[in-house]
Amino acid sequence: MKDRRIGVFVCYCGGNISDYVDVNKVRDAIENEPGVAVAKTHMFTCSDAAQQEIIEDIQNEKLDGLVVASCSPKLHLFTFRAMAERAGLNPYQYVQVNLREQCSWAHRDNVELATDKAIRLVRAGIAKTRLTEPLSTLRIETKPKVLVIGAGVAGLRAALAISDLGLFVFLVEKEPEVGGWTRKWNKMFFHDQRGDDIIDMLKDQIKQRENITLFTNAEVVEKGGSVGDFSIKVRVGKDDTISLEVGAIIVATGFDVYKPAEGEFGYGLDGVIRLPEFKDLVTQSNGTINYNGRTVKNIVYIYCVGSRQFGDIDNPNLYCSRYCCSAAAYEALCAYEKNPELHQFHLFRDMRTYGKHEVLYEEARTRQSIFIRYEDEDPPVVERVKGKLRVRVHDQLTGGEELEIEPDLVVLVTSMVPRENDKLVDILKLPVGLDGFFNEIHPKLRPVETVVDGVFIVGAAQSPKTMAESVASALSGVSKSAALLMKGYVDLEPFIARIDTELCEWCEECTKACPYDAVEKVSVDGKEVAHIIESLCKGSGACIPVCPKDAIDIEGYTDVQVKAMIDALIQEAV
Amino acid sequence: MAKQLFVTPYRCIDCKNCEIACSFIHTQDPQKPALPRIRAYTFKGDVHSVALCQQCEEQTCLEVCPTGALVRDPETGVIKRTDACILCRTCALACPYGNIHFDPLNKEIVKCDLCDGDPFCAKYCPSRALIWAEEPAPDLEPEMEVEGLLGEEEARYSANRCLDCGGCSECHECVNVCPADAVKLDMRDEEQILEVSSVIVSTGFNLFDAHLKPTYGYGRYPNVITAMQMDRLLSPTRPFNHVIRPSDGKRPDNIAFVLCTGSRDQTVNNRLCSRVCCMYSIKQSQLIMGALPLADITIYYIDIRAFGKGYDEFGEQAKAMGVYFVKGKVAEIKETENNNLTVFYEDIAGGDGLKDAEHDLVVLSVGLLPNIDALNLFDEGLLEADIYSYVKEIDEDINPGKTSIDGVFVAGAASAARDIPDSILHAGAAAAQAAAYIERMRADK
Repeated sequence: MKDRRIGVFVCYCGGNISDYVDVNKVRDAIENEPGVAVAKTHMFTCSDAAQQEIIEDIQNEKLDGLVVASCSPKLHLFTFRAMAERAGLNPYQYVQVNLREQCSWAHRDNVELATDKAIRLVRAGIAKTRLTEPLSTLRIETKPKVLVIGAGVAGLRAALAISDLGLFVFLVEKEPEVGGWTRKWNKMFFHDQRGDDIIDMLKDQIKQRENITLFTNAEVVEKGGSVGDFSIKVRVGKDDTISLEVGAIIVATGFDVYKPAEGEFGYGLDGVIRLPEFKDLVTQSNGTINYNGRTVKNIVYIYCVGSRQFGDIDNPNLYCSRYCCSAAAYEALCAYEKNPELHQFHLFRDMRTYGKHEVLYEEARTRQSIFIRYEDEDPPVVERVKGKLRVRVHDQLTGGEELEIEPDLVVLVTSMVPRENDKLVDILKLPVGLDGFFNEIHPKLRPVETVVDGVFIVGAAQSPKTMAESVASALSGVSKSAALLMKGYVDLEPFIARIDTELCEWCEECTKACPYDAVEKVSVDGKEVAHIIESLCKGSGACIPVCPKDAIDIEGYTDVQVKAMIDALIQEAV
Repeated sequence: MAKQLFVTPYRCIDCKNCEIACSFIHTQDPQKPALPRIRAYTFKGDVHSVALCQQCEEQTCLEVCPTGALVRDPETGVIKRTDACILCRTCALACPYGNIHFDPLNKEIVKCDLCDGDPFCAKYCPSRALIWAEEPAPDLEPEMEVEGLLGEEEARYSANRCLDCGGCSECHECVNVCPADAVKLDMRDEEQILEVSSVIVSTGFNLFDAHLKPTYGYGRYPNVITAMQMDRLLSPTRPFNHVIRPSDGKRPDNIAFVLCTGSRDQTVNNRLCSRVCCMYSIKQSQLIMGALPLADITIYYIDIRAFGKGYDEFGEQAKAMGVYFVKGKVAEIKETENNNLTVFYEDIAGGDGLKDAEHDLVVLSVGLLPNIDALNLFDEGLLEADIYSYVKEIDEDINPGKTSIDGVFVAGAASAARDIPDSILHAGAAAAQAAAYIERMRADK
């Protein structure tokens, strides 16, 4: 091991660390560790002033390794890497030690042992730093093209917005026609625009764009490559397969309407229909609303059908579907507009007409709609008795009084459910949440990004949304794709696997273990060995334990480094 | 004769300087100000006085202390607390004058120690209601309200007792010592002109002022706070290490959240739902469960609007943790004994009609209102508002964030109440359209 000059900076975090960890004792304990040239403490290491001081230390003391013992790397890894870079130090010779989330905050009850643990953690960080090598990022040229999967309202709007920015779009739709659910609908809340009009308008605009190619009756069947440089195979029609090269992928596959089980709130009985079907009835009506040739006078709406269930096998949907309360209240207003003589009863659990949608609820209450709250555990019962529909419900407002309503029509206010597209999930390797919708990286801060770099999820494929919300999320996905592609390149972390070709004897175990298809077989001097495809490797480490020859290491997390860290952790503390 | 601390109540002006001075001199850690050992009181509106330990001869506190932690100094006669104290607070209960307190922040029993023979309270009493002397100050004639001029010695003494709480004498020492050169004393407002092709208005919302709902008593009852104040109490950089209630620093054990304060309420001229309050209240209730595991938490609501991804599951989790959800709009809040509060509400789910419940802390979940300053950013009337005074989105369905001015987009809560996920998506939409607008401008040139 050559002599290293490592700088160690321990942070008070303004008391967050120093209230429970004796920061100066930590500094004193490690300042004589082999390789440590500078050891200091700072009140806030992340402050500009402290960073400036550290940069000066790096330059004056000619440091070749850096340890900051502060908060979680999730918060400031990139801050300090950038600082190292500004000081002329290779950013991958920086190691962050987490003394806050993993030490001071966790051990408020025992200052002494917390300090002891902090010393060990910092020693481990130093041990790792002693073995760091300068690494450089992997730069990949990006393709200025985006694949949009699904041509519903979100996909269409996304395609137009990408085209606006001068990028090419391939828009792939499974159905023979574009427009998804929106195309099938007439007047929609909140602005009374017609769904079919909106789709026609978007379709017309797309036709005029030279940089949008639309495939209908088409499905994505294969995905290779990685962020900035994906290679995609699309099956068009029955037999044609075409290959595309794109830099980013926007998934806008939308939702399905919940299909209740036979007998669920009377589903299957004559006169029990779902909200989308009711919407069609209202659209078709001229004056009165008719169902199967009969005039409808009394309507019962049952809310939360397929939403907020109890999580058992028959009722798996725990989530709230968000759009349905507002949509049902709006539909009641549309029905009232057609026929003010209607009696409409809404059986609900919580009215979730959030934000400005509140006025829909307010208006419906003044227009012949009666809202009856039922208890979660005591849902309404729908039966057909002597040829007539009958709904029984306990009304909370009247102290649980049982009401009997004989409606002509029961409208089940059904939820949005995730589309069944297991094949696509498999091809894109996208994670799916407990609710069955695609999962984002962070629900608040990164709602359209996924763990697969360069693949974005928008619209109702991510979670139930209204049309306007779907469009907002689609445009958000466009922002993210454009920010990625318009720069022309992406830099990938260098933490990828490396094969020691002298040890490797190509047994295939690593390629079997790799979830990213990043290992290929090559021949080196006539010997068959494994080779890592840099742009595909994510540094997951899945290949390492399965290698019988210990021929694989992850850059930045080598076996030697990890062992050195463990040794430092269990060393007797002073 | 030894010096004593004399109190002359009619001179006390209730300025509380004595409390501040006492706290200052006893504070060890600047982040944890000490509880004052002396208290200034006002009786029946206009009679002022101070209360502090009398160092009584009938030493009840000393006798009840189970560990013998209180001892009387044989020389000065001052009763002092020693390290044997186990914080049982029996002395505080026993003191007939209520002059022994428990300091929750520093976790210690506090009582007057006469500052080891140099009481600061007397030093900083501006009206000489407190004096440290061998004999009481001569009585002033009741009508003689004006005192004579100060002599030189007195003037110097008075000038010296200034605590200089916030004054800057512009000595520029801070400029000299700051390593980052961050202090500039010659900075002035400056106006900059930036030429841009597109503008995104993201000026956010205004918070409902809880004073405007007088039936809830905010501002009148110390233990009625807003959810923003509760958030501060719960945040990682919170001012105290515990959730405490304002009136007495006690940890509350029966907390109520009143949802829809200022939302869905025609009496305060806001018919809209604020969209975020249900969820932040549920979040806070879960955090309180962590901070005060034994506390009862009740959420009074009209509808629980847990509509976003994972929200309903989060609400159910709070229920499973033991948070009580009561459907019923709160009509009125009244103060009872010990600054506790009675909440009057209609019990809709229970079917019991009008009911009341006592809580020791009430949190008002205040709603969101438009920030009308956004509308004045451009020449009058150019940036259109909707009927609720939010920035109007002229084509929300297809171009969310597009405003009445070409090239100007709105993002987040400036155009409607929005939570963080929806604001982020909306902002992304505004960014995409602003970029497209700039691209189009460039192409047209």
